[in-house]
Amino acid sequence: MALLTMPFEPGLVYVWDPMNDDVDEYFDLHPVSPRQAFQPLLDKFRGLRRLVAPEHGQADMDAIPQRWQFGTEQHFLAENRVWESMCGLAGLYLDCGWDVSAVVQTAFRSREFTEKRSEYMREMVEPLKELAYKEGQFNRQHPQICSWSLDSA
Amino acid sequence: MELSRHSELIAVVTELWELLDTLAIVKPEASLQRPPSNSGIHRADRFHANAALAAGFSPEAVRVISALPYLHDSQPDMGQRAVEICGSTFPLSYLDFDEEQFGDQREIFADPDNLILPSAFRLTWQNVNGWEYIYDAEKSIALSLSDHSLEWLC
Repeated sequence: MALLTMPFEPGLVYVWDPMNDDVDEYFDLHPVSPRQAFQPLLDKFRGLRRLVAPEHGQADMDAIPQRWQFGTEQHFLAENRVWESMCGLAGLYLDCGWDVSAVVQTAFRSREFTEKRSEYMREMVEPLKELAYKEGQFNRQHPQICSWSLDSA
Repeated sequence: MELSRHSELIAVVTELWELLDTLAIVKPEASLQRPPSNSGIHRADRFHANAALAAGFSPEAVRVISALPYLHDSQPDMGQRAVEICGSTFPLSYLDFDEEQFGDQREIFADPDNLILPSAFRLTWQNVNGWEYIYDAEKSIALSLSDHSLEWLC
């Protein structure tokens, strides 16, 4: 039987992680529709699972920081507190009317949010980042006592 | 092909960039730039279609690139642009590009001998460990009536 085809709307997206996918060429992957490609990012941002503060960094709620093979526990805990504080931005969004299920945000008070975020970054996040930086400096200055193996934990 | 046949891509990219803008997470040096509504494509002084064609993009790819909204960063900092949408991955704007810059975006791993297909183009820019989102404007799928399986075309 001859192959009969009904063309769909053209245009497909390849989502490729070149460093980790087991393919050398992007076109060896199965492409997906634009909606399939980008919906996970839309869900993540709209659902406040990924928090970004311009010029201050970002945190992904679904990527809980892991203990490194090297470095002190104090440094890990300090970095973890920075991550937790960045995740706290989600509460600020909700306080300012963000709706995690709405495509169009009709009640979000953007100006109020950015003002609260500035204060939150200054008073909560930046001091924790400074502490984490100092713990990191200790690691760098004392590599002989900060070499730490997961196997021995 | 008609531009309307790429409406899903244009709608989804618009939705994502507008969401990031609404979240107030776009760098101060960057802004959302939509094509003018009367023409549906960026003005010729901002999007240089001839340069894109000269760099090897197909006419269909150039047509789509000219109609997308962009989070355009006027001052990329250490390669970081507009907003980090996932690990080491950023929106890519084709506004104000010259032929060489278009050509650079066709290269994989910065290798001039390893190019993205002429009908395809990047939607994002990644910094070594990030993700590539590559749209092929001429790739399509079709439903085979003979066995109801999906067939890749082009």
